[in-house]
Amino acid sequence: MKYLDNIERVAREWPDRTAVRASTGMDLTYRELWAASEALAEQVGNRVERGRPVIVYGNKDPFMVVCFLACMKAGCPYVPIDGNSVPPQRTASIATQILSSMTGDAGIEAPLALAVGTFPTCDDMPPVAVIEHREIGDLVAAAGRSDRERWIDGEDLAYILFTSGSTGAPKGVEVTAACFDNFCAWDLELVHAHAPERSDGPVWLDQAPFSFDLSVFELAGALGGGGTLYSLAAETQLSMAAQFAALKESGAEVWVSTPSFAELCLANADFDQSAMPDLRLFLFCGETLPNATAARLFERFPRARVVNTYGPTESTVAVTSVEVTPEMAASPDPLPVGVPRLGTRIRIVDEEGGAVPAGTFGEVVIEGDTVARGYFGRPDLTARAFDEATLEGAAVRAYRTGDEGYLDAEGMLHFRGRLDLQVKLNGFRIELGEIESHLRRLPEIAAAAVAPVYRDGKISHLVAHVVPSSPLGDTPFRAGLALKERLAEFLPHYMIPKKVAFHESLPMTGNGKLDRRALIEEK
Amino acid sequence: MDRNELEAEVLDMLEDICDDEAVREERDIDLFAAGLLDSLAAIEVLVEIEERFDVDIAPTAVERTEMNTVNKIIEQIAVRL
Repeated sequence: MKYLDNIERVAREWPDRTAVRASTGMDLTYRELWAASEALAEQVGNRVERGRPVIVYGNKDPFMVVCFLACMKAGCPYVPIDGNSVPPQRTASIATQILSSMTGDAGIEAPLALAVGTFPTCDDMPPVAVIEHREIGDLVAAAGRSDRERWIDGEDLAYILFTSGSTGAPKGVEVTAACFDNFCAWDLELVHAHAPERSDGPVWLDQAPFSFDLSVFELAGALGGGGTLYSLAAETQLSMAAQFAALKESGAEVWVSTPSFAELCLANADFDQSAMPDLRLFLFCGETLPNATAARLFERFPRARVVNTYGPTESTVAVTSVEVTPEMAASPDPLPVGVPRLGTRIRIVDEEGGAVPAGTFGEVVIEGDTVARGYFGRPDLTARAFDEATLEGAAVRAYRTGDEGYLDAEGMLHFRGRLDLQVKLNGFRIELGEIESHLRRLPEIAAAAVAPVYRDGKISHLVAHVVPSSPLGDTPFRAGLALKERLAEFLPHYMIPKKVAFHESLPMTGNGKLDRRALIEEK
Repeated sequence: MDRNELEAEVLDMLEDICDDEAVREERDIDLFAAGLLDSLAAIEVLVEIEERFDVDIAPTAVERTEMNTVNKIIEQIAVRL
């Protein structure tokens, strides 16, 4: 795998260069990162068959990166679970899916988890063979070597990333080593093309949780290019003062985040080029970049450029890009999301799958060499969304995104929204159906629907509209609070509706379906 | 602006941002723990405070634990008026 080869070369030629640094103070040089991942890879290889998924659990810690590389070297896809945002029940659901894929393996009774943070317990947790943080430290200190025959390559899986699934259980997107390498090459090209004044091994901001594939932008770019990953730990992000202090001392040259996170930082009047003098490039993905946000960044960071990108987890982070100019930001037209990278073709199709002319809205189909293999253990879901295609004479995979957009005459993609019940809230991908299915499972709920509330054309939060199965025993607010606590056992915090509204019945359309439009609020 | 006017204005503001009239009754509940405020909504609170009261509170000047209930938010404004 090219990514591992690149890291090995940097570890050999510039061993003392910092590979990963966290806002909590821990750091690792390339030499340390390489040696630690070699030792851990040997241990993982001793315990798990090649190709078996390995959970990597924790928040932002340099050892998370050691674990990712160790899994790649042991030939095992890593399954990143952010300990800060993913609750125990959801971790259990992921572990159960991995376990059920292993039935039939002789002598294997539990999936392996490398726990950089404390691995959670709960009633539904299947048996998991956990290597705790301290033991990881001991294994790494004991030194060791990976078996190069086991390194992932080509169609082997690099990682499985679990995203919101509409039926209640998260679904795992299978990203191959080839997808990772192909994405990484483009990621580095983006930085070369749009940040010519950056240093040789730039510092990349690492803010998004590792269970959100936006983080692969910096994980691939920083280490694949001999740079430094600067991780903002969840505990730092809790305090605006601590976060700002961390950003100032990060030395970050390349910024990666959702537009929402940048907006959060922009609320601080001191967040500007003098606070982050080295910042040269903002890379955005995960949700719509508002013109006003780009315009404010140009005012505050005169030496930085802004690049907007687009792509679902199923096609490895992002596949289109465009550099936003101050003129585009000032224009009343929404910002486009860019032209496809080399190796990707975008097609816009109608409901029957037929191509539509330029300028016409339709479903976005992505074809190319970064399209994932499918959904882990779910051939049914895979068959529904994935297909085969031919690009420049080569066989590639195709993915129907469920996103709505159009290509203009220049081949630039413009994104409008979702065709289904998926929403993006502060960059997080959420299936409303997943929240609803958890609500409907509760005995105190007779019916439930979750709807977004829009403010200035953007989703500001979610409201759960529920019909209780018996009269409320408490004030609606207290009853709502109790429901939210129940949901928090199963769902990440960003999926918990802000408000619970109790109704006697839910609105229906003329043909007896739930009238979702009637539930959507505009403020 | 007297204390009653201040409270009334803060309650209007928080009802709008939290999208829940219960903030009028539940003045000591932790708004973050209750899921009524998150990092982005907390910034909205600061922006609204500046617009409605002409009180400028930098996001880095107050910790979350100092502004996590209705009563604490009222107090933070009151001491700066």
